[in-house]
Amino acid sequence: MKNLFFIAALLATPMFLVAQNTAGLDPADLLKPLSDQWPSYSGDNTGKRYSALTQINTTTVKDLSLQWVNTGITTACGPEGKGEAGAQEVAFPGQGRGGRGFGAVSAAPIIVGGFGDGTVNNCGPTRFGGGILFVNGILYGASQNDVYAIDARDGTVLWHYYWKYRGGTTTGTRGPSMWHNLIFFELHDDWVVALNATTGQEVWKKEIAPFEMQYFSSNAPMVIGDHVIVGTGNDTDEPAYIKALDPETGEEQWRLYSTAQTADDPSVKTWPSLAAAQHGGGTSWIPGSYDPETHLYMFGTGNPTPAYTQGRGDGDNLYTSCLLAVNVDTGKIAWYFQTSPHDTHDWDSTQTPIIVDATFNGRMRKLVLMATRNGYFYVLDRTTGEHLLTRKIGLVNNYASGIDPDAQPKLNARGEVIRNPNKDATIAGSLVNSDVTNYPPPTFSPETGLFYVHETNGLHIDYLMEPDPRGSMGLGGISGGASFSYGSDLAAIDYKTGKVKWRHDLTEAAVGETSTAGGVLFLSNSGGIEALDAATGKPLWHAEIGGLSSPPETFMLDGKQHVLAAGATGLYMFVLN
Amino acid sequence: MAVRKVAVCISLAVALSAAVHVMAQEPAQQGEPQTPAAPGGPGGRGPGRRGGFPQYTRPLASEDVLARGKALYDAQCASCHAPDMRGVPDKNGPNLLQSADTMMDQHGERVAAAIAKHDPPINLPDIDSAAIADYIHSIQATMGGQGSPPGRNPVGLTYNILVGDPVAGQAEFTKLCSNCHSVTGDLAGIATKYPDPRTLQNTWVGGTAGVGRGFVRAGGAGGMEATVTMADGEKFEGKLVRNDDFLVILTLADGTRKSIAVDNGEPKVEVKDPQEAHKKMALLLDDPDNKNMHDITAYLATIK
Repeated sequence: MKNLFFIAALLATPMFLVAQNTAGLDPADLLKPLSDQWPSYSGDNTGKRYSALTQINTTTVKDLSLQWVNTGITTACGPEGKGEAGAQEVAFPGQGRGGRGFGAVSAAPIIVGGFGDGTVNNCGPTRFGGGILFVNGILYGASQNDVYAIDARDGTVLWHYYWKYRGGTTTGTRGPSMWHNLIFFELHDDWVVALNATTGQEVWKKEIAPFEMQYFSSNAPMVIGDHVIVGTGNDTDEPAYIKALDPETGEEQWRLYSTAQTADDPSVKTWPSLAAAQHGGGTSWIPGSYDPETHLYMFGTGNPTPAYTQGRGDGDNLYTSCLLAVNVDTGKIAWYFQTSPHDTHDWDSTQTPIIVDATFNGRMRKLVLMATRNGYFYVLDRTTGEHLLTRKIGLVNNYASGIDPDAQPKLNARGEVIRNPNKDATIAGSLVNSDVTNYPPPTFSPETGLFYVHETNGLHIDYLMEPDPRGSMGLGGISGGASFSYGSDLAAIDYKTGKVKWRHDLTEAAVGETSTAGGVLFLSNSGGIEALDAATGKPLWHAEIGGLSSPPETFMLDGKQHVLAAGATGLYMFVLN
Repeated sequence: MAVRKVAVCISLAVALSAAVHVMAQEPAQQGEPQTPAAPGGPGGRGPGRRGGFPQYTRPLASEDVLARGKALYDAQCASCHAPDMRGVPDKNGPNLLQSADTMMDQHGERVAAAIAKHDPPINLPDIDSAAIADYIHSIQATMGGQGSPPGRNPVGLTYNILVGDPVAGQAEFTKLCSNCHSVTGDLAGIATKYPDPRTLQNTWVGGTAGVGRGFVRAGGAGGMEATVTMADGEKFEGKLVRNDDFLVILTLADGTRKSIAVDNGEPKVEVKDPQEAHKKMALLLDDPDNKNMHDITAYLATIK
């Protein structure tokens, strides 16, 4: 059996284990500007998703051609990953079965892990989620329970790690991460595995949180130096936290709860009781960004719970719906900025913050930029957390101000949005905007000075169904009524003013964007992958491969700039010949 | 605000939804396991909703044990933890449905340990603690999706959503609605047709119930009437199949399809959005207190 062969090879070759910590990806490379490789979720530590590559530019992008496509990469199921024993098969969506990655007939070894019996896993076409790494000619990508190493030159699957999961809440994964020759990946039933990047074999695995308490883990581990930071989701109001792990062993280095867990935590004053704080939510499920000068890891926390109802007093409910800056060595909070104080709309702040050094009000500043689910764009000083700008985005955003796009809300002394409580879910119904943006990552181009983020523009009526002063639990206690869509778009925001310079209509669900020094913006639109002129939004090129499942990426291979797109129909590699 | 180009709405059609789908994170991806449908009530058996969380998959105790557990719970626990187990904040009694001791408990061992060190003391034999644990597990098995408590909506409560002023509502109706609608014409008897005020409000705001002329039914993706005007002035009219940055496709009156390449916004595509009037109305209707909406609902509730 192949798996045994690989295990035997590992055991018999101690030099191999030593080598894994020196080969692969030097974590220092994660601090270099995004260019030839794509070694992390955002590509580099800044979260900009701005590639320095210029072969593909506004003139040449029309000449992109397809280098290869693999429509045959499949998820595994059953006890051995081959689809036996009652496992569920999912049909391909009318696609050919080309490529060499197809499930049971693949030549690639399937490495089996996990604590389920394989009957809950589905065999079917793989929809890659989150970031796909490109390091030294190899792609490392994943869907919820399957991780793959793929030859970037022809799409051949080199190994396939299959996790038999136990079920529970399933969302989209944010993908794997890398440290030297280890690939880290979070499984939905709350484990993180470290895989040998060469073989796909498990090197270590650790439980992130107890599955029994309905946690679900989909974040991409954030690698910073010798720290691997994992986060986990939960909808049953269980304590929310991130943990830093030792990359070599998985041992916990520190843990940071989003809300007070002990009475001596000063933030407990923003809750009606310690119990309410302990169960107050604030989960972290998207990687943040890192400033090596200050050693601050900046990331967003999720909504408070119960999400829509009473039960959280009148306080701000710290540190839910916050941008947090945490010292990566100690796990202590250096500063915070709450994007939705006392949020009542399930508007988490987990969106990717972007680190930029740029002029603001006439002088060079170390900035962090963020657009959050409540429909606000923020500029802060990232060394201190000093608030510099808050501005509304979205076309019908009325939860804290008049509905006119130019109407701005009252801000508190910290520059945070003061919501209109009449727009909370009410018994008689409240006409309020829907999520303005969400998890798909934005991009920032230093060249254009524009911050690109998708907007969805909708209104709906929220009815409160749980008037109990204890509130509901989780996302319970409301019912939706009439709803309107005003369409969705990509908004190009001038970071100096927060004003939208232009908007471009979207016909595909947003998955995130990537900008380049060639002046091109890649995104999912017009029935596939599309390139826009980053300065103007003018459409330049597209390939009709179906809407994407993860944001497009770009990198250099064999001297040529490539563009990678993953969607429901397969994995597509484009190249400028 | 400027009226948006509505072409993008072909895949984002206005809908009157019975419930806004709420998700803290994105939904599961296509081709991956979805959360199974909800199980029965207390005493239910077998695998439940949401796949593998033990609260929904563990076998439950017999009806006898659950009945005994409930009696013990009601006598020993309910005064501070509430009959619905969601806690009594004034008595410092935490919510047991989400406590680590009940969530992590397998067969009463953690619940028994918690009871054994309970303050104030509770003296119970392990068999009784186990019955209480079994009863708690049976209630946890009925918890709603994404953490909502058992029985998503409380029982026995009536909600009065008619909080508006019908007189002010009549004036607002005249301003916002009377160009297209009349309470003696298409809306005659609307409160009789929709006796539930919440349904009435959703219906008139959404404009999707098809009650007479002017109201339109919410469409699915596509299907909106559109006109494409070519550079030479030639026009094509039909139902939209697709409209993006590179391609517009119409189904013409004779049933054939016409595909037209689009280059940097040319040719122009004009889309007639049947929801356009109500989308504009909703923008004018909005106010910081939702008062206009509530007033019109109160007025229409008198149109029996």
